[in-house]
Amino acid sequence: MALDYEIVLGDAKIKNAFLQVANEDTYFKEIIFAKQVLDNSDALQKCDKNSLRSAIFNIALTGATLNPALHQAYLVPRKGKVCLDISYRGLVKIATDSGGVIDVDATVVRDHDEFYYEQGLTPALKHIPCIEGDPGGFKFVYAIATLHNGIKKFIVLSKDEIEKVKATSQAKSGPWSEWYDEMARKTAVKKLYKLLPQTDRMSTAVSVLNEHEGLSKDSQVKALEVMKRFDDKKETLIMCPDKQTMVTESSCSGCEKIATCNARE
Amino acid sequence: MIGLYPNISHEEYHKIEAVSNSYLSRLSRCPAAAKVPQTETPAMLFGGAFHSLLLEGEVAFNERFVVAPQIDKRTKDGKAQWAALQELGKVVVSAEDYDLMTEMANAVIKHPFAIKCLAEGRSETSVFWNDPETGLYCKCRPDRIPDGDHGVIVDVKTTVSADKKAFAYTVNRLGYDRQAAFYIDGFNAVCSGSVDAFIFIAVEKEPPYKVACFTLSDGDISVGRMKYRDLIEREKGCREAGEWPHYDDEGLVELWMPNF
Repeated sequence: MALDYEIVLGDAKIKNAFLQVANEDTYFKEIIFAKQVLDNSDALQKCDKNSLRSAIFNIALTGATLNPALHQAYLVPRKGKVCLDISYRGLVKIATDSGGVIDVDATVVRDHDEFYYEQGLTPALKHIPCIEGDPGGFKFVYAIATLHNGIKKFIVLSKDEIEKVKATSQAKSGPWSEWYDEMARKTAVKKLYKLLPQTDRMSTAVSVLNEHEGLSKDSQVKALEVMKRFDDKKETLIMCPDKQTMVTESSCSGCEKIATCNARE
Repeated sequence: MIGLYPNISHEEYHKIEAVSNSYLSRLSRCPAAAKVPQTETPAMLFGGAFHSLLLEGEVAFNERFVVAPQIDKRTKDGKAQWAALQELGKVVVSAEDYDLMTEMANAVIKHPFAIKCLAEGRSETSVFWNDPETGLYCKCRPDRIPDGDHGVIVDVKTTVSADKKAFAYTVNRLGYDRQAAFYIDGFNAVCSGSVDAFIFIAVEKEPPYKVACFTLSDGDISVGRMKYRDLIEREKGCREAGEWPHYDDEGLVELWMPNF
């Protein structure tokens, strides 16, 4: 009898989704890769089947492969769900395959490297890695993309900025602690991508990654902080017929026209 | 003219030549598009009237707009009525549109957070500054700057969908992130760095007029900043060359066909 996950993998809907963006050959290969991973992982087998379905869908939509030899994408269990994790290498492959850019690359700058960059009217970036002795700790990460017209775009992120992303990620303990550089490079590529010609595949890949890291849905840091600024003033608001705007109760009470005003009626 | 100007009328503001967010939007199509004279579309007119009604109140609204009753322009009486309306020198808003914007405004002020954002504050203050890097003269006109040090700029957006995901697409497509960064930087250029957040009050144009308040993370604001910096530098280049070409690319571009 077929196991649950085998039924999901054989699902006609998954096949159809695949065939819309890739050929049958790719479909069979990816299903076999997925089955190999699932066969060997109790944790993945126990996960929610719908999440497995959407992870496989995302393979089709992004055009990444689960081929273990290529290290592009992985199925990983997280909180009872199967997540598709796309590696740095996978992300670069999707960005170039999907046609938005000719090339994209991200590099980590260490403390003892020689590094200089300039933005503005004449952007420039120079990085000479330290090749002798200890290069030191993580200092910056930068991503450079080459567009079809030959123009290069880049962004530089400091350690602080990367730490901010890490702090809002749910994948803090896993990938961020084990593969900090790779996560930083992925972050730089994701951020640079926002400035590049957008493609469906790459957009899917970025949202898959953000979802995997818990970045898209749970990051309410700024919203909560801004909302708090308004919380200190818990005064009732009254429509002022004179100013034609809402005013706080205290400023309404202090108004010289209060005796003749009907705002509070 | 540098700084905050609370008492500049819409007409005066639009006459002042400076780089605005909508100028940058057009520039992003191709430089020549920025130079095409703008005519007000019905959608822009509706948006302007709705903003005035919601943010400035009925008195200010009635100064600029006049609501047209149901007029049958085929009859003699109707024609006379219509001509009389035109003579007022105000923008005519149809009764239907006025009802619609009243419903929308009522929906907005029922949103608990939206009403906090729209409570006491300055509406439609004009901001003028020189971009520090390029020296270009810029302007913007935030919908609302709440009183008290909230450090926010509030912008009201009429939209097809106030859904979180759909609105995020709209922000990307229409460059609202770029607008947010441009406004924040402009305001801070004349008010010593006091603003760091941008709030969108999104209201749908169809019943039940769903309302949602959104903000962008610092990271997304910085992306918006890069987007506007690119454009402002392109404008600077155009001015130096004295040319606003009607193309982005001077060479041959190979099409990339997506998987349809």
